[in-house]
Amino acid sequence: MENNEKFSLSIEHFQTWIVIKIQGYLDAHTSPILENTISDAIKNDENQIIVDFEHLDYISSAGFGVFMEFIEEVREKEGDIVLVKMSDKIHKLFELLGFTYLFKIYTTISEIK
Amino acid sequence: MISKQDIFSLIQDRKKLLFAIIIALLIKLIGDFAFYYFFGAFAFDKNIIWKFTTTIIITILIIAYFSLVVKPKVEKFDNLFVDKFINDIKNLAIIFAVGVGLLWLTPNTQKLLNEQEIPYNLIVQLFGWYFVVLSFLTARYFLRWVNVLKNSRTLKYLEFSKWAIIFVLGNIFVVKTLNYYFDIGIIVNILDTLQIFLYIYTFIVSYKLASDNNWLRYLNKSQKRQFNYLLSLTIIMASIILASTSGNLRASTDLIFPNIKDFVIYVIVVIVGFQINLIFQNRTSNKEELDQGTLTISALDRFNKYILKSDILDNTELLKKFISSLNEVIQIDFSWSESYFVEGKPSIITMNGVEEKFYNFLTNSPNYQSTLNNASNTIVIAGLYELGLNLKYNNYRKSIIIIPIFQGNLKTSTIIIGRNKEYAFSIGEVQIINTFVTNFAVAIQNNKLMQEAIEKQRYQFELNLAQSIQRKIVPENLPDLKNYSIAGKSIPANELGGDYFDFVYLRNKKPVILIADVSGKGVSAALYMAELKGIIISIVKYVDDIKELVLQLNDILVKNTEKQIFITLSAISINDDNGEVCYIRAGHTPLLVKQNGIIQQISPKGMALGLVGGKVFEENLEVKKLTLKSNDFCFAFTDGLSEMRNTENDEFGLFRIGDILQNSNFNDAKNVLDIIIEESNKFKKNRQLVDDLTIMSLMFKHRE
Repeated sequence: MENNEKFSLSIEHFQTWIVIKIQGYLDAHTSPILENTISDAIKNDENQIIVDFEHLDYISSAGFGVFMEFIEEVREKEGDIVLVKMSDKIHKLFELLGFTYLFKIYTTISEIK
Repeated sequence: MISKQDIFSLIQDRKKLLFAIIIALLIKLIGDFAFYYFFGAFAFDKNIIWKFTTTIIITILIIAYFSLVVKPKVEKFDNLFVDKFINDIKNLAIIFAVGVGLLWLTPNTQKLLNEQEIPYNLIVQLFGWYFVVLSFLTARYFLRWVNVLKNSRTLKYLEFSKWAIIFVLGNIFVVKTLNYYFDIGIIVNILDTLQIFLYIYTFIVSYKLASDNNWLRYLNKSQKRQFNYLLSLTIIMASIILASTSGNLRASTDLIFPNIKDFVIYVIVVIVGFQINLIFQNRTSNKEELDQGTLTISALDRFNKYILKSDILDNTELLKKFISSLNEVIQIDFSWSESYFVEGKPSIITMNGVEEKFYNFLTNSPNYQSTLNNASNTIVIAGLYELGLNLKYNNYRKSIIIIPIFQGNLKTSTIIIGRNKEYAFSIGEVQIINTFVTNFAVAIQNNKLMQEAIEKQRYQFELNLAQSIQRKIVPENLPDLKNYSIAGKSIPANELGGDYFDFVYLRNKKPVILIADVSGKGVSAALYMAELKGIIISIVKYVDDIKELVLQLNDILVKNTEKQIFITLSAISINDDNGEVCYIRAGHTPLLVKQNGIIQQISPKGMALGLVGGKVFEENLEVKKLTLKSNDFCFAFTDGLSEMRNTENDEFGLFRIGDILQNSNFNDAKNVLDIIIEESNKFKKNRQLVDDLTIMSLMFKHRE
């Protein structure tokens, strides 16, 4: 219950993409929620995944791990995980970790082709 | 039309029966009145057919009613019975007192009504009916006690009293009526004499029935006093009623049917015999009883000691021990127990001396199963017929006791013990069993708590062990190098941390300081950290610079860690004694460097370890060369420091760290750490650390 208060997500669709909007705190306790959502999407053959960071307040190392877990698999299936609307602070973290070399990061969804 | 089924349902329903009895009684009274009014006769010989028929009908109805009340059934047993028993005797005393009052009223009514025959006879007949009701109520209470007593005498007693009642009722209704039509005075006299002997024998049998040396043990002192007082009172009143058998009692009951008093006398004899024994028992403290008490307590004591001492606190073992301890006090011919740990089928966990055929026969009976499932208390089954198992089809004459064991509100197991005889357990034995059960429930609860405590202790022990091992992973003392001072400190947020710092030498003897943070927290992070240390130690001997070190390290980690696990790391190699150092960053928080009194953030390109290998990693990895002057220093940390929050939820932040470093003067590397820790503690106040915190510093000081 507490986890759900700390973190929540909603799902939308954009063209051929599934858009997962995440909100709140993404850490070791809440990351399984996102993990399950992405893994369900892949099971349903939805391999083009956008994760919307607009309302994400915090991400821990375990949160970063979720994206690493699936990136290889979706790319093998000719899909991708694209990250959008990241705050400067979170973007800085991605940069520090070198994740910017691994993921496509856009400021808006419309930039995605 | 009244069908057979209606009659059947009538005799199955207590309330309807009671109603029928009252209606029949009213009809009889109205009929009696009509007889007098039209024929002017109240005497027995004028309306015998009417009296005979109505009295028989009412009696049959009353017998049907009471056979329903005392129908053999599974009775719940609890120690509260003693309280109920006192209550019953109190009620009985009141019923008898009213009876005595009516006896006194009988002659006085005659005077009051100026010798008018009709109202007198009707009213006094009502008194007579009161005595009939009194005897049935007395019988009802008595049978209730007998049903709880359920010892070996009970069965014989019930058999005997069935025939005794048939004899008495037969003597009243059949013999006396026949005597009216055919003069059989001699037979009547013989039977009346036999009846007197029957009363005497009944008295003895009832007296003996109460001789169960345990059943009053649970009375406390004031209860005992009350009990004796009530018993004496009832006995005195019963004697008064008995004394007037040929006087007022007879006068009133004969108006119903001649010699009905014989039945009333029978019941009173039974109850008096029973109660006199109770008074004697209550007075003397039986030696046998004391012996059994001592035996019980010592068995309980041994059982408790066993629980306290035993290491293997297995509930199966406890159940076995429970049965064997109980067997020291009371004889058990066979037993089994079942446990309900998880949903689904109960598992049989112990079995002693049970015939398989009997076990299957019993457990396949639906009544047994429902009794077992609903048992919330110890249940005594004196004979299998109580479970509706027809004796025609089985030869099992056994008594069993069903003992449910509860933990809180949850029934965890049931123990069944039995003897190869019907009515084999006494009330005292059942009380002993209940004492054991209470004790056992407490023992299981303690056992559970203890197990939890032991597990917690063991877990804590292992955690402490892991913690002390982990402390050895990070170096306790760092070496003093020429012109450099080095310091490092790691504070885990939980018992185990995922942060790491170290000092190593490369193949070319170049000193390197390292700081790393494993993603995630707790045990998994700690395990990866230990792995990291192992890998680093094994590869430093084969590499000459930190870029090579990081590339090798990443290669191994990519192959050997799960996809979502990564490690951030910073490494600084000390190239010479003159302040030349190299810095490399693998996704780690940037290095803060103070050069010429100015703080700078240094963040060369570099991805975290364990994510990707090959070209992508290598192409995005930079090494930064720095030249330190005297008193310049580097400060490396994990995000546990920069993301530390205080009670107001403010973040410590990179800016604050830079500020502290900028505005203080430091003697050596350790001094830097001390001040940072001091300031961070001031900042966070009472807030707990949520992430591991590791800091390292390297200061250059030219000593020439």
